Amino acid sequence: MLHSHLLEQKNIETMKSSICDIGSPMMGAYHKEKKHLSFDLLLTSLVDAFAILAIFLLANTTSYQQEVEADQNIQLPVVTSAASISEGTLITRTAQGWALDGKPVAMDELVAKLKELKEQGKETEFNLIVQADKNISYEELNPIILASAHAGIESFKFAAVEEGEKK
Amino acid sequence: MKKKKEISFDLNLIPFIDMLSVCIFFLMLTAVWIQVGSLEIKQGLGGQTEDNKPTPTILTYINSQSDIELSLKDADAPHKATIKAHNGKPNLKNLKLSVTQLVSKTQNLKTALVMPDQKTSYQDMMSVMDVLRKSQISVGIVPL
Repeated sequence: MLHSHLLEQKNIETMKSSICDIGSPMMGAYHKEKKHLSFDLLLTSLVDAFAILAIFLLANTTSYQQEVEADQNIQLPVVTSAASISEGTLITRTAQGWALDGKPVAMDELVAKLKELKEQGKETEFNLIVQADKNISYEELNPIILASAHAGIESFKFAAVEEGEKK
Repeated sequence: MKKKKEISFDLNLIPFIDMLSVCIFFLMLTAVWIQVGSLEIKQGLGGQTEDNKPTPTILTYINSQSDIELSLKDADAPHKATIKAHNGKPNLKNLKLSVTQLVSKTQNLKTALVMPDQKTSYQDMMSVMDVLRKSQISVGIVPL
C-alpha cells in the first residue's frame, strides 16, 4: 500500500518536470546559469546620517529661547550684534496702529496699561519688546517711548535681526 | 528529514528610515530660521542717579539729513564733531572711529544719549545705537 503510494507520487513529479520542460525547453538551463546579483543599498550609513540630522534639529529646537515671533508684514531693522530675546511684553506696530501683546491699544490708554502690566510683574524684571518696521520714522515711535517713560519703564528691547540673517 | 529553517537576523531598516525622514521633514518645517534678537536701550528721560559728580555722556543728535552731531556732556574737555551722512544714510564707519577716539580720550565715558530727528528712520536710529553699543557704551534714547 505504502509502496504503491510512493510510486504514484514519483510518477506525478516526473510528469510535472516533463511538462515544465515541454513548456519552456530553455528554462532548466536558464535556472542553472542565473547569477544572484545583489542590489542592496547600504542603508546603515543612510540611517546614521538621518539620525544625526534629526538630533541636530531637535537640539536646535529645544535650545531655542525665542518667545517673539517675527510678524510677516514687518521688516525688522538689521543690526550687527543682537542679544537674544527673553520673555516680555510685546508692543507691535501694525497697519492699524500699535498692539500690546497682540491686542490693539489706543495711545491714550497705553500709559495706564503699561503701568498695570508693570505692577502685575513686580517680582520679575519688566521687559518691553518693541517690534516695528525698519522704515517707520522716529515720529511714529516717539509715543511709545514717551508712554513708557511715564509708566516708569527704564529700558526697552528693540527687536532686530542680526546681519547675515536678513529677512 | 526536514531541512532546518534559515533564520534571518537582518534588521528591516526601511520603516526606520521612513520614520526618521518624517521626523526630519517635520522639524525642518517647524524650525524658525530667522532668529529675532534685540538691542537693549535705556530710557533717556529720568532714572538719573544722584551721584555727586556727573559722569561724561556722549550726546548723539541725528538730524533730518542723517548727519550725526556728537558732543560731550559733563566732560573735562569739550568736544563737538559732525559726521556727514553718506548716500543719505548715517556714516557708521566714521561714527565708529569718532566714538572709539572719544572713549580712549575721556575717562569714565560709559553712556550715550541718542536724540533722533522726527524724520529719522527707525533703521538709521538702530544702526547708530548699534555702533555705540559695540563700543561698550550704555545707550539711552531721548523722546522728541
